[in-house]
Amino acid sequence: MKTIGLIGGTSWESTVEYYRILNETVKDRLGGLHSAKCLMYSVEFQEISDLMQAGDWKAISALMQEIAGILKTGGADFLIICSNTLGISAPEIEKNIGIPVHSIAEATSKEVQKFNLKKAGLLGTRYTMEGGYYKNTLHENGIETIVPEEEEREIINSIIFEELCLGIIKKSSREIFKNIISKLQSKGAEGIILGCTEIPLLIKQEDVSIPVFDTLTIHAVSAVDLALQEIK
Amino acid sequence: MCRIGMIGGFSPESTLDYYRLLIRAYRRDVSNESNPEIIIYSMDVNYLTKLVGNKQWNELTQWLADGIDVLHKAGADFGFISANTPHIVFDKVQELSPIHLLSIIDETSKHIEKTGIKKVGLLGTKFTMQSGIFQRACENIQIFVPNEKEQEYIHNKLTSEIELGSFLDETRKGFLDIIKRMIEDNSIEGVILGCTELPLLLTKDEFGLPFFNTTKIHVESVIKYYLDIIEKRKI
Repeated sequence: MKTIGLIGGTSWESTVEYYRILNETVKDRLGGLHSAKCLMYSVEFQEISDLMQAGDWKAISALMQEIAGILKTGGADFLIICSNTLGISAPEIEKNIGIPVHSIAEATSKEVQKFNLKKAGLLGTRYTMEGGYYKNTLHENGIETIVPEEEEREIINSIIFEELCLGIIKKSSREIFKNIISKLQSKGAEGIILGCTEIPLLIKQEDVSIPVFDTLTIHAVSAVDLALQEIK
Repeated sequence: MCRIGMIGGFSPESTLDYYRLLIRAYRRDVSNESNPEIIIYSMDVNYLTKLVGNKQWNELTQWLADGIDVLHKAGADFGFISANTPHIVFDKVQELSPIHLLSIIDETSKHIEKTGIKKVGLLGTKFTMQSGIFQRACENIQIFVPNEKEQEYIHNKLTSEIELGSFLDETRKGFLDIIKRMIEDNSIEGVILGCTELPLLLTKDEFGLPFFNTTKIHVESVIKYYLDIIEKRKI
């Protein structure tokens, strides 16, 4: 089994989910008391969150590369970044640190392709919805992305940071999300990508009538596929 | 900058318990919105069980020391092993380790000694109950272990249910019955939950006795040690 390097802590609640899914998936596949071999670095999120607010992506990328280097030194065979927003650092890590990164956007694109969808709605932090990381990766895989209106993006972003990241789950916020999703649906979205590891805490498949892509689960399960590839 | 190094995976369920408790304790003491820097190396519990079962102590020592080495290389300033059973070889692992390690056994005995309690019952894996690690660490405390049949029951439930994440009421009752008997026969004044899985099943004190949650005690010591380092580096 390969050693999975995890960059976690952004937020720690979703990191718990990652760790849980990795181990459960390995247990399901190999049986017994088998568990995932992983090396996890849990970062101080406040520091990164401050840099995000300031828009200092250069500093974030430098920090992510430093941590990637640490995990590589520790023996990780490949990395997963337990966050959609920070997945954007993946290409630079691969280039400068020389360790493969199993990208969340790539893994999600492959999953959306399995459903033969051409157009998908993307929800996430403002950075994820407005940046090119998901949009470009999906586009390369033949999937068109649509995102909510600016005002709605603002609302989604603040629910993520002010509620979900702090573990607060509100019914009223769920309704807001459902409304925004049905608007995307009326604009032609055939599926909804929950492009933030916190959103599945609020929105589940049963809340929506079109396929919902929980990027956290897709990412973690496909990481196990990758880790187990050698032993057949 | 200071980094906590943790050997995890024994089992994944209790690793998550540790991770949550570390963050909670840090937030309580520092700030509600920040996290400690933690590196977790999650190792294979299957392999641990095999080495312990075969009493391959040298191999176990080396395997754990290699794990600590991963944490050291990754930049951990100090470390700990998040389970009781592997502490059977703790002293030898510490000798091989380039970083300081906090022992769950030592931290727990220090904690109990402060309470003034003199007689405690010890529950844990068969290996923990029989190895004498707690008995050696707790000089001023008398440690009682369940009888052979009870030990077998506890060990079985730990490995066939609790480590797999299954917590049954019937098993909880079985464990409490053993504790009750030890109160009657041994006059124990407290119980060491000497396996990091046990607090997941026995979540609160019972019979008016303190249940010493070794995970929590360990976490408190780790956070205190971590904050002390940060404080020292500021000066």
